[in-house]
Amino acid sequence: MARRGQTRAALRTPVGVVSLVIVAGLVILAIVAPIIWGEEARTTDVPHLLEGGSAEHPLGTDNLGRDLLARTLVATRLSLVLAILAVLVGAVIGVTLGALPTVLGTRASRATAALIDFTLAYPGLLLAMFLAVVLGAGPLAAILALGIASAPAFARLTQTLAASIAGSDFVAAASVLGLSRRRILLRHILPNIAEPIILNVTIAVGYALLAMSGLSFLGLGIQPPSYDWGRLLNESLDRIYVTPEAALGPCVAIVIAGLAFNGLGEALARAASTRVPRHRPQPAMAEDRPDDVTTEPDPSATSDAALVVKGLTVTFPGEDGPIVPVRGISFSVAAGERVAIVGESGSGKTLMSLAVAQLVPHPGVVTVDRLSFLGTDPNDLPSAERDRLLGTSLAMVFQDTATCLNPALRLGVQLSEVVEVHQRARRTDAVRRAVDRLRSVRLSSPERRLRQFPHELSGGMRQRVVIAVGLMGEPRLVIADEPTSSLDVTVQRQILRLLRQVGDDTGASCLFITHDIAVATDLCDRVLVMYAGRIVEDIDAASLWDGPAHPYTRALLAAVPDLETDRTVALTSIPGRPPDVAAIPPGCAFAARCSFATDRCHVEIPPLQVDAETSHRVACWHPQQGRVATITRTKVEAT
Amino acid sequence: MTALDVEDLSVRFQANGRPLVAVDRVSLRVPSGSVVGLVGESGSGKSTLARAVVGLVPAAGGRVRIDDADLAAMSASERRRARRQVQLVFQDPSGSLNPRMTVGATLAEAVGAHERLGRGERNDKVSELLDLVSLDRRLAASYPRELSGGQRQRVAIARALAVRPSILICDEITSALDASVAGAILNLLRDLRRTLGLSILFISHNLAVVRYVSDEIGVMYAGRVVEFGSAESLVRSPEHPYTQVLLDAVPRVGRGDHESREIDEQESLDVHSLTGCRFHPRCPVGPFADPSRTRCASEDPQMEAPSHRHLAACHYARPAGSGTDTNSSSPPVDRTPSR
Amino acid sequence: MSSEAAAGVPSATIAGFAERHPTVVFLVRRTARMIVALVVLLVLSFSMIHLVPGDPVRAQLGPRAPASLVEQRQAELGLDQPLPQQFADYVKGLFTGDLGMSSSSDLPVSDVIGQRLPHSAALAGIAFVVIMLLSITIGMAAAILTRDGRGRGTELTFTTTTGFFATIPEFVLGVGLVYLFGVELQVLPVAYEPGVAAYILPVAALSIGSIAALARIVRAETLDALGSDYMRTARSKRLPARLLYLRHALPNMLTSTLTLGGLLLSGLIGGTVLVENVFAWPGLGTAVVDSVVAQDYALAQAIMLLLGATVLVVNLAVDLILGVVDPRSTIKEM
Repeated sequence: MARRGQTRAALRTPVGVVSLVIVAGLVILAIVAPIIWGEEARTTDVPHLLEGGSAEHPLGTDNLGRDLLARTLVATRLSLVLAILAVLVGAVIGVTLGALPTVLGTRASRATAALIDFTLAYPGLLLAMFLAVVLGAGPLAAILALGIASAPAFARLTQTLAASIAGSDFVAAASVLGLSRRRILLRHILPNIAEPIILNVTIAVGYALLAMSGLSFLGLGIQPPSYDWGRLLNESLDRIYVTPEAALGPCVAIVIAGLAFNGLGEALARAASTRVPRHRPQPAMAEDRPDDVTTEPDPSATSDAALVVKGLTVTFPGEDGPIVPVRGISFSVAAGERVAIVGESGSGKTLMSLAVAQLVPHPGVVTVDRLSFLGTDPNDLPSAERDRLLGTSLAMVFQDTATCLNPALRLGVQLSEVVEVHQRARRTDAVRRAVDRLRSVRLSSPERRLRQFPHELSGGMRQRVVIAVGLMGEPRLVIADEPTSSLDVTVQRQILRLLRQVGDDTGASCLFITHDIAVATDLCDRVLVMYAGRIVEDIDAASLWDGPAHPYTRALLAAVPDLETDRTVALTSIPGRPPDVAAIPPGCAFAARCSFATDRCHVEIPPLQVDAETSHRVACWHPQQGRVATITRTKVEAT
Repeated sequence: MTALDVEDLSVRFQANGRPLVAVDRVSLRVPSGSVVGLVGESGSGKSTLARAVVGLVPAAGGRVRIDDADLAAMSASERRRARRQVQLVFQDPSGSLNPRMTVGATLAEAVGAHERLGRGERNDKVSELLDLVSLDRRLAASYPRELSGGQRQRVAIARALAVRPSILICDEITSALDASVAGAILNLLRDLRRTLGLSILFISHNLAVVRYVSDEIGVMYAGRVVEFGSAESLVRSPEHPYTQVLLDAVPRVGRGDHESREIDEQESLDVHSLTGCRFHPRCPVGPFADPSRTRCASEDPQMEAPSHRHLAACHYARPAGSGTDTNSSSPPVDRTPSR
Repeated sequence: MSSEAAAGVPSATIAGFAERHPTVVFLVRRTARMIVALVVLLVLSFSMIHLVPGDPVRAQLGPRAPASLVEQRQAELGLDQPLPQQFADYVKGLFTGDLGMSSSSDLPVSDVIGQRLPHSAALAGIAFVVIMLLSITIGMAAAILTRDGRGRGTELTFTTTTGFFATIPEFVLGVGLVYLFGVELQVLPVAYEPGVAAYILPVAALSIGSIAALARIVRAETLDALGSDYMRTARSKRLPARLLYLRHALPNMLTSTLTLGGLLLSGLIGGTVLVENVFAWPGLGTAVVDSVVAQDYALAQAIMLLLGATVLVVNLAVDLILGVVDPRSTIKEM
C-alpha cells in the first residue's frame, strides 16, 4: 500500500534506521536485562564498596558493592515502564477530554478549549511535587503527575484533529449518504486521527522518560530499593569528584534513550506528513536548455518596447534530471500595450512572469538570450540602479489578496516604503502620495486606510491597494498574475476596469496572466497562449473571435461555455491531461491530445512563427482556420 | 423522477458573536427530471442552502419537501430514508474523498450503505458505477491522491449515485477544475440526467456554466433569491438590477469593454443587517442613482412578477433596456456611500 | 440615514463600547480568567495538606512522636480550626505575609522564601535572557542561511546539533558540566559562591537545551515567514535586505516568538528546580524538594503557590502583550 511504502521510505533514512534499532534494542533490553543481569545487579560485593571503574566492574560499584553497569542495564525496564505508564495515563485522559467537544457540542467545546489552554503550559514538576506530598513520594505520584501534565497536550491535539476531520467534506458526504454514526466514527474519523495520535504517543514516551528520570533524580520518583536511571544518577552525584564514572552509565543511557525516541518520532512524523520530499539539488547546466525554437524575431519588438524577451528558460533541479517548466519563450510588449498570457495549470505562465520580474525562487535558474526592460537589461545595471528600476517601473499584482499583503504591517507603511526607499522621499511626501494613489484606485476614505491592516479590508479592496502600491513609483509595466481569480465576478469586473484605467492614465503596459480566455480578451489587446512551457499562439484579441489557428486555443475556446453557447449540444472537452512538467514528451507537447496530430508532430517541435493564412504567430504544423464552432465534438475521454 | 421543494427555508449562524442569517426565507422548486441552477457570489448563501437541504446544517425555519412529503413531518427513520434520495456533490474533489480509502472502497461503502450485498455483487456494482462516470475500472485500486481533479470529481459523483438518489445537488463541482476538464464533467452531468432521470440543483458562481446546464435559474444575493426564471429568458432579459449587473460582469470573448452598470463595491457592508432591499447600496437603479427612490432603503421587496415572465424581487424591476422607466437607462453613477 | 445606522455603526451601549474597543475587552477577559485560575490554585494549595490520607502531622513527625508534640504541631498548622476558618486564615496570612512556620528549619516560611527567592530568580532570569537572545539570533541566522533549500551543509549541522542538545535534560547536562568543568578541568565553581563565576555553569545547564529547542522552532517560523506571499511582494518592491528581514519578516514572527517566550518561562521553573539540585544552589528549587521529602507542609505549600502563581502571571503577561501587538488575535477572541 502506498501508505506503508511512505513509512518504510521515511524509516530508511539514517536517522530513522538508527532510531528504530536503538528503540528496539531498549525494548529488548527492558525485557531481558533483569533476567540476564538481575542477579549480578543485586549481588553485594562488600570488599569493593563505592569503587571506581575496574576490570570487574567497568562502571564501578555503589554503596553496597553492587555492579553499576549491571544496574544500569537492569534499570532499563523500570525507566521504560514508568514512562509508558505515564504516557498512557496522559493519552487516555487527554484523548477523552479532547474528543468530548465533538460529542457534546459547541458550548462544551469552548469550555474544554479554555481548560486545555489554561493547563497546557503548567509545569508537570509542580504537580509532581504536589502529589508527592499528598500521596507520598513514589512511582504512583510520579506517574499520575506526569500523566496529568501531559494530558492537555493530547487533549489539544485530539480536539483540533477531531474538529478538522469532523468538518471535512468526506465526513459530510458519508453522513449525507446515510452511513451510521458508528461507521463514520470507526471508518472515517478514527483512522484519520489515530495516526497523528500514535505518533505523538511515541514522542511523548521519550519526553516522559526524561521527565521521569528527572523526578527520580530529585528523589520524588522511584524509591529505593527500586531504581531507575534517574535514581542511579542521584546516587552517583555525591561521588562525582571521586568516582565520576559512576554517573556515566545513567547519563549515557538517558541521553541515548531520549535521542532514539526523538529520532523515531521525527522519522514517523516525516512519514505521515504530506510534504513533497526534498530533492537533492543539482546545479542546472546550461546545456540542459532546450534549443531556441524561435526562428524569427518577434514582429512587434519595436525600439521603445516596454519589454522584450527572447529565449527565456527556467530550469529547476529534479530527482531524475532537470525540470524545465518554461522552455524558450520569446515575446515582446510594446509601450502601452496590454498583453494576456493564457494557460491552464502546468503551462508555466506564473513562473514565466516571475522570471521576467526576477523573482524566481532559489533553486530555479533563469537563462535568457535577451531580456530588455524599457530598453535596458536589468542585469547589466549596478544593483542599486537595478533595484530602483524594477522597484518603481515594474508593478506586480498577485493572485491571493489575503496573503500578498503583510498582515502585520499597516497599509500606509506598505505603500510609502516604495518611494521612501527608491526615491528618498520624506515620510510626509510619501504619505501624501499614498493617499493620492489610494484615491486613484477608487478606495473610499483613503486617509483612514493608511492606518488599517489588510485583514480589515475585503478581497476586492485589498487588490486595489496592491495596485496602488504598484502605482507609487512610475510604473511602465504592470505584471498581473491571476489578479481576479479569487474575486467575485462583479468585483472582478471593477478590478479589470481599474487596470484598464491605470493603463490609460499612466501609459503603462500590462502583462496579464490568467487561465480564463474570456477575461483575457476583456482587458487585453493581444493574447499569448501557453502550453507546457511554450507559447503556442500569439494573436490579437479581436482576431480570437474570428478564428485562432492552434488546435489547443481552439479547443479552449470551444470547451468554455459563454452566455451564447448552444445549450442543446455537448461541450467540447480536451481528452487527456497536460503533460507532467518533469516528463514532457518530444515534439509538440500537445500532440497527444490533438485531433490533427500527425507523426511529425510527435517528433519535431513546431517553431513559433507567423502563419501565412492568419498573419499571426502560431506554433503548429497544422494550423486551423475559421471560427471556432462550439459544436465540434472531439473524442470525449475521462480526464 | 422526484421533485424537490424548498419552502421558506432559513439558516442562521453565529458569526463573531452576532447572529447571521445566511439563508433568508428561500423558496425554490426543482421539478422532477429538470435542472434548476442557483447562481450567486460569495456570501449569497447558496452553499449553505444546499447543506441545509441535505440536513448537514440545521434549518431555523421553513420546510423541505421531497415529492410533496414534508421531511419535518416524518419520523426519524422515515426522514433518514427520504433524505437519502437527495445527494450532494461537493466542490473540492480532494477534500470530499477519504484520503485513506481507495476509490473502490469508497464506492463499495456507498453501495453497501443501505442494502446487504455479497462481496461479488458489491464489486460488480462498483465497476458499473465507474463505467457510468466514464472512469477506467482499474482505478478502483487507486487512492484519491493518485487521481487528477477531474477524475476525483467523477468518483465523487459516482459515490453520490451509488445510493440511487433521485435528486442530485451539485455545489460548485467544476469551480476547482481547469476549463478543459470542466466541460467533460458538465457533459457527464447532462448524460446522467438523461439516462437516470435525475432532478438536479446546480449551484455555481459562474453564470455562463449555470445557463448552459439549467432549465431554470435562481439568482441569490445576501441569502435571498432575488430573481427566478427560465434560463433563456433570465439571461436574455433579466429584470432584477443585480441579475443585470451579474450578466454584465460575465467576461465575453471579443466583447471588449463597455460601461458597467454598477456602483463600486466599497466597505464590507454588513448586508444582512440592512433594512429594506439588501442590494440597494450597490444598485444602479436604486437610491444612489435616483434619490427619490427611498422605498429601497425601507421596504423589503417581495418576489413579484411584473412582466409575468419570471419573478424578481425589486421595486423598480424592469427588463434591461426597456425604455419606459427613465432611470433604468440613465448613465451609471459612481457614488460611494459616504461614511 | 436608516441604512447607515443599520449598516453596523455601533451604538452607545456596552455592546457598542465593546465593539469600538476590542482590545480593552480582551484585556479584561484575560485578566479575569487569570484571577479565576489563581483562585483555583489557591484552593488547591490550601487543600494539599487536607488531601493527605490519614493524619498529615503523623506523616510529618513519624509514628513515634509523642502526642503532645503532635497536638502542638496541629495547632501550629491550624488544623484544629474548622475548615472555613482555616481557609480564611490562610488567605489572610497570604496578604499579611504570615505563611506559617517551616517545620524542617524552624524558621518562618516567609523568611525562608525571602532568603532563597533572589537566588532562584537570578538564575532563572539570567537564563531566560540568555535563551531568548541566543535562540532568536541563532534561529533567524540559520533560517536566512538555509532559505529556499540553500546551505544543505549548514542545515545538516544545525539540525543535528540542535537535535542533540535539545534532547539532553537539564540535570544530565548539569552533571556533565560539573564533571567536565568542575572535576576534570577544575576551572569553574560547581556550587554557589558569591560572584559571577558561580552562575556560569548553572545558567549553561539551564539554557543550552532550551536554546537548541527554541532555535529550531525559530528557524522553522522564520522560514515560513520568508517563504510567504507577502515576502514575495516585498521582494518585488526591491527593498533592501535590512527592511525585508526587520520590517517585513520579524513582526510576523513576533506572535510565535512571544508565545514561545511564555512557554519557556513556565518550563524554566521546572528546569530551575532540577538544576538547583545539581549545583546545590540555595534557591527555592532545593528548598521545595527538601520540604516535600520532609513533609514540611507550610513551606512546600507556600513555594508551590508562589511558583504556580508565577506561571499564571507570566502567561497573562504574554497574552496581554500578544493582544496588543497582534491585532488579529483580539478579534479571534470575540
